[in-house]
Amino acid sequence: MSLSLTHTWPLFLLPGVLLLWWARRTSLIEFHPRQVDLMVGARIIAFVAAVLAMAQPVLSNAGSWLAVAYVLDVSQSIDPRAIEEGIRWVEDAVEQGDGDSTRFVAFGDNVVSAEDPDAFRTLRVSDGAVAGAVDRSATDLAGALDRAVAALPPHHVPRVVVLTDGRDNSGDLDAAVERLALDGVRFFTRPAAARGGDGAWIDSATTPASVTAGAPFEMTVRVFSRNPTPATLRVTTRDLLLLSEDVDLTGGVQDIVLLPIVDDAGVADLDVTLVLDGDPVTENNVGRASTVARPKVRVLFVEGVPDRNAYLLTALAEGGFDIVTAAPFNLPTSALGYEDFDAVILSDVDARMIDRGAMISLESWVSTFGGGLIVVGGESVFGEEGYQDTAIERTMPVWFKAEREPKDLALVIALDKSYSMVGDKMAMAKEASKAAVALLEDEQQFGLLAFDYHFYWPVPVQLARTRDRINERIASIEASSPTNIYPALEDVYLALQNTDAEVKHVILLSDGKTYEDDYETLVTQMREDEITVSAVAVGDKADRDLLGSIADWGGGRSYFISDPSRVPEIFVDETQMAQGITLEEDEPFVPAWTKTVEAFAGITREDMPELAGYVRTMPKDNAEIVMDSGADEPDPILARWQYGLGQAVFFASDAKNRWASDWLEWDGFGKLWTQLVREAARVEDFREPRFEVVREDREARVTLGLLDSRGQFRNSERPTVTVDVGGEELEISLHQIAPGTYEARTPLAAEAEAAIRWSGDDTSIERHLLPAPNAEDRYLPPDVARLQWLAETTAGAYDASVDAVLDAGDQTVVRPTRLWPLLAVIALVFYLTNMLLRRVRVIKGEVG
Amino acid sequence: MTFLGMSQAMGWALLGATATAILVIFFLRIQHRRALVSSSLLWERVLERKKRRSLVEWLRRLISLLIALAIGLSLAAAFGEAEMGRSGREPRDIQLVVDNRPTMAAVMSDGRTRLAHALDRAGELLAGGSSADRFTVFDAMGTVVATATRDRDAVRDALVDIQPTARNLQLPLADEGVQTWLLTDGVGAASVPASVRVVGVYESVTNAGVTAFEIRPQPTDPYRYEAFLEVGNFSNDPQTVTITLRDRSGVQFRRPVDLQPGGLYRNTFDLTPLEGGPLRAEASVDGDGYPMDDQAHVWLPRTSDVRLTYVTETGGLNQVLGAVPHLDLTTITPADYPTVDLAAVDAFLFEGWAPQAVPQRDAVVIAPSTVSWLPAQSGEATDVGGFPFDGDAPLLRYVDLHDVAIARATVVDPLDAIVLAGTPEVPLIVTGLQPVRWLLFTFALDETDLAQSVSYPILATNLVEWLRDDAPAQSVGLGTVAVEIPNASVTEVNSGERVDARAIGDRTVFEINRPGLYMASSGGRAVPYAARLDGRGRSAVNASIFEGSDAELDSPPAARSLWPVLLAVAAVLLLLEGLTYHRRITV
Repeated sequence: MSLSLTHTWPLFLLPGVLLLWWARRTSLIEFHPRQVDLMVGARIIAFVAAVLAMAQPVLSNAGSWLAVAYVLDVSQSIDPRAIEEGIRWVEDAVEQGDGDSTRFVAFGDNVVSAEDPDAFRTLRVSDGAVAGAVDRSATDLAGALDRAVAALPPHHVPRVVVLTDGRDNSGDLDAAVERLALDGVRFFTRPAAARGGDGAWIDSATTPASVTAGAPFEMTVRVFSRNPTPATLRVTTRDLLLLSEDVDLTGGVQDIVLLPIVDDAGVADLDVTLVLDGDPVTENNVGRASTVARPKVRVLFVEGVPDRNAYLLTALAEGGFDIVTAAPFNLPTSALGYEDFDAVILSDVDARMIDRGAMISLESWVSTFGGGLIVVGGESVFGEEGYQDTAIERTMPVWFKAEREPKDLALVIALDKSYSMVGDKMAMAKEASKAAVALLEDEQQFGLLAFDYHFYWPVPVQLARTRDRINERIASIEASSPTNIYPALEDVYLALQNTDAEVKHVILLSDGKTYEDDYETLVTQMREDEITVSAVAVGDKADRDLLGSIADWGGGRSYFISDPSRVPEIFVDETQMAQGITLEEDEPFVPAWTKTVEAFAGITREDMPELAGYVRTMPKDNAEIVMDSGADEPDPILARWQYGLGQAVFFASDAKNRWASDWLEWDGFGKLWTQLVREAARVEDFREPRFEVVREDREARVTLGLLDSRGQFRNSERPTVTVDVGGEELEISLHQIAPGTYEARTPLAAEAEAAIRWSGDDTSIERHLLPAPNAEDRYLPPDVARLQWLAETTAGAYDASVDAVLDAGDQTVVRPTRLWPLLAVIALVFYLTNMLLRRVRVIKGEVG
Repeated sequence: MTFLGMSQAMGWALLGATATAILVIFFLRIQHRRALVSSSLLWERVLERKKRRSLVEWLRRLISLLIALAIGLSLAAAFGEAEMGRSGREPRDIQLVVDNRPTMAAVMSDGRTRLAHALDRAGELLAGGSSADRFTVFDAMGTVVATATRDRDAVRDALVDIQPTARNLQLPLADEGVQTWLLTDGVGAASVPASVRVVGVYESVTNAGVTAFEIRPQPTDPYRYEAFLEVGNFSNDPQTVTITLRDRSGVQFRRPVDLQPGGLYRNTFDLTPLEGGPLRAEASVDGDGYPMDDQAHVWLPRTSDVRLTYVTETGGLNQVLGAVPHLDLTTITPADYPTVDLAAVDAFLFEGWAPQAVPQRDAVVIAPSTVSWLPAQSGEATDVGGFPFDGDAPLLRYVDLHDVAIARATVVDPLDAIVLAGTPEVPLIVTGLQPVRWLLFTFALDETDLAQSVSYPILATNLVEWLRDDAPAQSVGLGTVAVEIPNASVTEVNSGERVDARAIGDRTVFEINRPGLYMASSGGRAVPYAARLDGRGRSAVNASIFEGSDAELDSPPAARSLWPVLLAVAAVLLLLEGLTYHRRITV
């Protein structure tokens, strides 16, 4: 207890007491001296009381006077039985407490006070804003707590008992609690049950802010069901069914991820509907989400062997890509030439068919512009004459070389030396043959058969270590006579049958027409005896059809060239392939997964078929090897890495019927390639405008981020956006708030739907804001964690007993009492006493 | 006259009773003492009676009576808390809304703020009601400042605490029969319902202010920052506004700019040459009457190298860390750790080992041995893959761990630490603030293919940024601020003043009443917060509904407190009349 004076200056009047006493000593009044003393005493008391009242003294007492507000949630989501139960609990509590300092508050979206607990039962309620009624259409717990505290009398220990499910959906409870906790208000929470009944509802539906047209995206649907039950989720946009999926609801809250696909670019407002039997309330079975679909991923598809491009092309087209095909020799030689694409696929493209400038441009496009480059292997992708030491190799996660022992090989070149070969052709063919010999190891075997109408063996099959002599014999070959391939090939077959090499390969070169014969039988027989045949057709007069067929039957490769200068490199490549350094075709194998990655989503490892071959490469440091050959010393099959801003992926096998013929029948083929390409593709150009709209309270906040082509902030712009609400358009200006960032706010009612558009120089972006669903339709059980947080944050208690609520504990407050009215009364009483003493002689005797 | 201490009827009854009592007492005949006297004395009595009937005597008695009434009625009226004003009003339920948005901090010509004037008017309003009137006071955001009460002193006490911090004007709903009074400068108050009685406290002021000041890292180089500054003249006259940009080392930019009313100055600044730390933009003009927007603050992250000491036996991270920009890397073995010069170290990276003693710097720890200052180890997990991770955490921003596989990880008990990757049962990347700021990888790098992940270099860069632990200040508004730091101490950076803060759960809550740069510190970690006015509208102090118009403002009923005067009158008369009575001047 303490006493304080509001003002001290009135105390300077107190010496007036001495004057009054002096007046008594010199009094001329004819009363008994003791009565005069009483008279003066009463006046002095009245005077002193009046002076002290002017000083406004305040007496402060510390105590634990409790003031309790009972806050009852009557929103739509609360079970009426829980409300009645809550009222009874409050009645019990009130009986034990102090009624003078108790308040009663019912709330939904607003707050209405009640005189006593029983009045809760007769309060007006509504499902919208109606004066004097509790609006049950939302739960504004923050507002209710604020108003409850406001209703408490001052100078009391404040207590608030909240009976609610804790599922507030309006107001800012966190801010309110933190503010009120600072004021020492303690909250005691009691859970109130939600409405009962079987059934389920959609709590929310969320999608990424932007998705890619044609690509599946994750739509997370939060569903609540009271019991386990089968149901169906349907996703539609503009009444177009995108997806219908049967789900098993497990009971309780459940996040279900759907993978719908939006085909068209632009804004997509998605409706998801939950369908199940026997649901008593269906209004809450709908969720809505809005997203923006970017245009489909644009893929530049380059196939080295055009007539074999159908498989992968078809798979990618079905995967929702926007595909443009191009010939290797037509690739742009500037990185800007790839600007329109998100990914480039080189499928079994011979490096010699791509301009070096195009390769450098591709590298630059990947590293600087974030493009995705996928190189699919094949017979054309290998070795020193392939991508080795090129920009493509720099970009890829592998080196195009292999560290393997050469195979035990017998290589035979069947060389056309007919008249037409005279000149450059023959010279080039001889040089090419010498180059092939040079590549062979000493222990490998080489033979050269020259043929026109007849044939002979300038170089019988022999070890390559005699390469000097072999080269001399090759140099001696002279052109003559017409072409006759069959006998020559048949003799090669016989010669190779007599060798014991593991690998036997024939390179057949011709530039003219030959006589008809049963080549298919011969070559097929050779193939059965594990002798492969490749064919090189030089010049326009060559029998391309026949040579192509021979290569097909022989399991080799066919080449059609006009320029004889390419013969040496073809012979070199063929020799390398035959040596088995860069190509592995010995045994079919199932690629081994080194890890499980997202690109394998939906694919079962056990279902993956065999591949018949692949290109041997060496992984670079930091390359991510996703599949390998599974051997003791495994080779990379699927490798990828980040290269600058983009991704590079290398698939060592092919995607056609040479090595991946089983894959073409596999239902995971399209899925794997679609997911691989999608992951590698350029996600988004960071320079693209960043346009965001969010609903904040009853406003829409629009933010626009602008960068120029160099990736620098675009400042001092004056952008505007169009806000379309129910067909009424409003143009608002955005103002700059930060480097390259512009913002505007516009009022937007909670139930309103808005389309907000921004149009730049060459682009237009639209976003939609959908109205929030009625949160009171969600009959979730009490949010115990939130109620516990509310109680613990304020040092209250969850599920508290009446005793706990009414126990002030160590909380005290100081209650000030103004003393001046009492002093004024004292002054008045003693003044009247003084007056009375003047008129009534109460002490008789001698006059003083 | 109105009585605040009681009902009107009781007040008047009290006065009547007092007056009656005084009159009755005054006209009581004094009972004189009986005494034997001579006849001459009888004559004297006759003469005396005659004298009494004289005019002077009549006046003496009248004055005495009036003084008696004055004293008695003054004391009675004071007790009834009499006020001047209309009487006989019905008791009212009044919602008093005090506009405490920042524009109310504008200083008027008498040197007092609009808010101070508003509080004066609120006091007048409080003084004007009947004793039965009930008042509830709200601030502009509808927050209850004083609970519904008839105790005017309690309301007055609550008014004192109102600060100009509200973010918007949100009038409380009023039930039927409840009056709402809004005390405002009228800025942005055009949509106030007609049913609300508006009390204006407006006078135009000169003002130039900073309306936008933000920094952003350049998209192509996160270590280079650019600032955008916008300054406006919100006065009614053209002004020369001096714009200043100042950091710790002093003024970096100063320029006087002539701005028309409503004119804006905008500029961007390349902050590359500046050291990190607080950066302040100022707008000054002669006679500025609104200090709230004269300064705006940002925190510029330092771009100097992070000095990282890498304690390892293997040096497995040297290559990737060597490629991270702005990192000064020193590699030592655990044996050299005790001799490290702490003055040259910003942070430690321990790989496969950790010191038993708590390091004196932030620490990243990879697959450590058991030490007491890190979460206890409780087992081992093998073949971990497809684990969840927090992609929003700064350490893992732009890092994709979906495809990362971990062959073996140590299971630790995270307790109060934050699991950034993995599950609470098998945490993989964990961070905590006690006893120093630490980041723990529970797996060795050779037990994972993380290094083959496309995100690996990004993770390394993020790691260095995590160690730098310096980011632009988070923007907060005025008023109650809650920060996600447990039990932090809060300091205003420029003044060094400590701000009262309170821990609530895992957060720290404090009040900010003026724009500035605030630093919340806990466990050796400091996070800057820039408190600012949120937008141009906050500076438009003259955009009032009262500007340039003769709008009739509703005024609170005129009333003056009488009771202190009445008490003073009573005290003085008690003294004086006491003297005159004993001199037989009064009766």
